[in-house]
Amino acid sequence: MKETATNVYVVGVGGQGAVMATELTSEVALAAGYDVKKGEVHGMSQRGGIIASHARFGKNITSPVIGKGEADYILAFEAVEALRSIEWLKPGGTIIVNEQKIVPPIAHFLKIEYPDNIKEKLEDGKRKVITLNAFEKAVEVGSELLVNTLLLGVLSKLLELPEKTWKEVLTKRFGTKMLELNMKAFEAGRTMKF
Amino acid sequence: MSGAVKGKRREKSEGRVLLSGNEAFARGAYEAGVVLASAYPGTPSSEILLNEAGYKEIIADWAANEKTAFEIGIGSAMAGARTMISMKQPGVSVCLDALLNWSHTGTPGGFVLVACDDPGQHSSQTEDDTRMYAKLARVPCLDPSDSMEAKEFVGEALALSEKFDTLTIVRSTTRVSHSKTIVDLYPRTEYPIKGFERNPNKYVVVPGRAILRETEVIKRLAALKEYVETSPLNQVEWNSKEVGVITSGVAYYHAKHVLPEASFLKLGISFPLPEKMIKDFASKVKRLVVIEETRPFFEEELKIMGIYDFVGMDSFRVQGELDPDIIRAGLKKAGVPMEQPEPTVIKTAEAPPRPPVMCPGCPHRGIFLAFKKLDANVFSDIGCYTLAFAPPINALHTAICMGASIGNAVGMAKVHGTDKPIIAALGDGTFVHSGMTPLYDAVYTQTNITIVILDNRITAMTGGQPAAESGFRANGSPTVVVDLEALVRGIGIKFVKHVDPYDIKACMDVLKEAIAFEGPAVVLTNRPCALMPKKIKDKPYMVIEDKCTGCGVCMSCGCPAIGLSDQVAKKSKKGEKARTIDPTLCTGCSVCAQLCAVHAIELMEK
Repeated sequence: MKETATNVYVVGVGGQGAVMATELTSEVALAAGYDVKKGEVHGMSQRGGIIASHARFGKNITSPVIGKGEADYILAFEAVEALRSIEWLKPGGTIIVNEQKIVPPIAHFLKIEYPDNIKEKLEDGKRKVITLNAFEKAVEVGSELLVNTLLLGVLSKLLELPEKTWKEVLTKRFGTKMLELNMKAFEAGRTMKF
Repeated sequence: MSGAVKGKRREKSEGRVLLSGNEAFARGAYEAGVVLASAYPGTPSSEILLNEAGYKEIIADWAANEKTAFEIGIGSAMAGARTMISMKQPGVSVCLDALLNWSHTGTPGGFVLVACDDPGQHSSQTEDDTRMYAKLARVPCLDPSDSMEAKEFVGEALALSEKFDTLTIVRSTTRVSHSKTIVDLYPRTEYPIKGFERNPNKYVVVPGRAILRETEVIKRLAALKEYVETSPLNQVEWNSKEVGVITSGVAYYHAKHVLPEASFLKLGISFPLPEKMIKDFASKVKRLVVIEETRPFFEEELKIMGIYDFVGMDSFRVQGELDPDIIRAGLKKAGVPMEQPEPTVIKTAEAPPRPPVMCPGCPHRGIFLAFKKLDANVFSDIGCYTLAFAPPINALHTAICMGASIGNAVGMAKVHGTDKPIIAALGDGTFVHSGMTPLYDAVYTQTNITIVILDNRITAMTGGQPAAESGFRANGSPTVVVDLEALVRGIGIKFVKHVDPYDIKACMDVLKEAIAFEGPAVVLTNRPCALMPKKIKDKPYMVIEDKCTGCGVCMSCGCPAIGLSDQVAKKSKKGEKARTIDPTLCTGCSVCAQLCAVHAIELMEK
């Protein structure tokens, strides 16, 4: 078992399932025997606001908050939110970016263009940037509702948490109706090549 | 596992789970034998009662406001039942009258108030500090650092309450309430309800008797000050004596993250403070650091004790939430040695802002656009609709505190402060909370204002808690629906009309009538919240690209379902992009279609 803390920072837009992703990651870490803390602030997020959720696991976790430059992994559900989160990623860390774009409704009013070339903007040679279109891939697997589990599949491949525990936690979380599709999406995420 | 509850093991654990602080407070109420729970919703506290309602052993209901929640709690505790009340910190201000009197009478049944502060004002109007209320009321205040402590401190607070004949406050913060950490579960202990015993010397707070209670309060505070010196909730963790940190709450963990090598005095009880313990700790460390949220409360108490030489709040911040980054920067500024290396922060890009907006299908959107078209001065209140102050809607001009809208409008109308129509707009939840009494003032003085009750039948902003107009209780069981029309007519309102808030023109027509009416007039909207208790999803609208001019007027309703297409609009004059509607987000409310001058938005035929 890894002694030092592993910090996973998950960002997205309210309603995308970013909080659920952190929740499942934390549950897996707990089941694998780690001390775990999951931190976020909710309240306004339901209304299309920003979600930033922190999961930390290791032998002994203190603060529930990941500081800037401390995240080992960032899972970004949305491209602009990936840009917003990049300061949290430590040198040598990895960011997984779902290229899905959700234009802030305020952008039109403020005459702001949605930024392009997200990958280029994130690259600095010191950290690894993985981009994928999880939305398209999820639709391919069976439903746009599977974005969340698919991204977790990608993340799970990088984290030092047993695959078996992931599957046990997912089985417990999803009802029989959605389980098969979610497992398929999780596998699809795990087997994606970057 | 946190310090204060480490090593204190009772029965065999029933399991180890991840709980949020709020879920843990509720579990704590369950395990400690709480019989009655009452609360008013408010972020970051709302999930406490929500989870209490899940235990069949606890009678848990949402109250009309924080003061009634507290008073219901007093009734239960006077019967000798263990009682827990919860609310956000501004709610403590609402119930302060009841709180200050109940702190004098003492309580036969254990009485705990869980109050959630919101450092950083993530979702609050003020950044006040409940510890100050504890000092004002001279009652103990416990300060948990994580979910395990959140759960255990409820039981500790109830035991303290019974031992010292005092209400006890457990103070949480947003980070403690919303973070999930590991909790060991234990079974519930039942405490028999003793039943009400008459005792006018205690329960009738009239001056002649209250003065005797004051003497008791003074004695009680002295006893509490002695108790906190040996309480296991206050703990010293000796490590290197180069740096010693006095802290409480989640700040303890942030500080521990930055200064793992330092010694700590972790205060599980933040009022009253253990003076001897603090002086002893301060005398043994080379650099003393005080790290606390939100106000410099410990700092001021330390100065009263005669301790002046420490690194305090002005090094860390003057407002906002603490985190490891802020603590590290503050320690560096103050020249406090740190062994941990500083993280390397690399920023490569800026991101456009993404403020929260009204949801697709929100019933507040249409009627606020009508207010805007009428150029009314809108005195409003606290709820989802407060978002109408911001662009692109910009149709709300004041929001001071819960229930302020009607009183503010009455005052403005009395002094003829504006030639524009005066509208007081508030939600059904806020109206029940504290809008009914100022409506009486409007009737009594026959002031010419229009009151719009945005009746979406739920307390939406805080996550969809039921209230008197919802038809069900916290545990989901059905109950009567309060008839708002009958209620306002009962107060004496003569003009009452209902309107569909999705229909901008209908709203304008009714509002014009109400504004022209002599005396106070009430307009009630009749659409439920689009999300709760049931998600509304009707046939979506779509943009007919051949008709769209790309003018963007549809986006002035600030709906997240409307976006920009990749194509230039065919009818565009200056090369503007066509608009699109995301069919998965659109609920079919039709507000944007009403705004489009060229009728380019139509119902999707499918």
